[in-house]
Amino acid sequence: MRLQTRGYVYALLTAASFAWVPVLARVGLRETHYLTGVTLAVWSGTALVGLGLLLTGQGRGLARLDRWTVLFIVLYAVTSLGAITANYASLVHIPVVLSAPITATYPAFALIFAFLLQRRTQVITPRVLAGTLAIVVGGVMLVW
Amino acid sequence: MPFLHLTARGERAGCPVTATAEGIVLAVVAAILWGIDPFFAQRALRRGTPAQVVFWTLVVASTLLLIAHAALMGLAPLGAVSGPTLTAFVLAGGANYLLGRTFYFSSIRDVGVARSVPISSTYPLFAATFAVLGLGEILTLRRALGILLVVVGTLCITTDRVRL
Repeated sequence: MRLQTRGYVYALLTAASFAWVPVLARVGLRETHYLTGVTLAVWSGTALVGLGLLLTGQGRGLARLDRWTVLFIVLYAVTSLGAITANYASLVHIPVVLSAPITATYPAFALIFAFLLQRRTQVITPRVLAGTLAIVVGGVMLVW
Repeated sequence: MPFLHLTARGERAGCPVTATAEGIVLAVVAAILWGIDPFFAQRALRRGTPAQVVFWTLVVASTLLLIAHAALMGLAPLGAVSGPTLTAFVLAGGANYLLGRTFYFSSIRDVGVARSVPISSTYPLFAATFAVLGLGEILTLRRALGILLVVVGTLCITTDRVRL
């Protein structure tokens, strides 16, 4: 397979993999509390990633970290943990067809934070404004 | 906040909002937190490798989850999960953290971020398809158009020449 074709196939497989997560979570949440579900999913992910790193020889040097990297890893872990927990909790109440597109609006929030925290005014282009407007209108259509 | 109450599923005594509204608020909270994520990930990746950042992030998250679970609900529910439910969560964890990220990084390596991210951000379309086919969820025309608009909007943002 050509390199470029393979790259597009991988991108589609990425989308398909991420799409299975809320579907599988909703199946599990039929009889389990969301906190238990998140714990089992994250623990499974950690074990599988650890095993993958070990088998591919990428496990060496994992512990070599400076304290600033550790600090940002902890902050990254806390925010992503909050996000996945909120996502699982939302799936207790609303279907995947509603939850998945709402959580997929995160690039718009990343943009807002880039603007607010880093004062990066150059991120606001007409195309970005059109995209944000489409997300807002789409969001309203989903929840209205 | 009502949605943080650790009640059993379906028990909603004293909750001032509807279940749907609560679910929507939680989904928005998830999107906001995933919007903050890249800033910390970017800074962690300045001196750390992707393998280090992914692995240690998961280790920290797993540890925090175990502490939270033990403090709020005890550890017994973790052992009382049925086989099919456990399989669903193991597969969800694998699809998210192993397959998803492996394909994502492989795609970026082969075609670059600019081409990879827009394609992978179409996942709500796949999720809706899987949910309709696998879970029997109902997709109305209005919601289908809403999903399409969200995906188009996300594509507009992620394909813009200015990188976040």
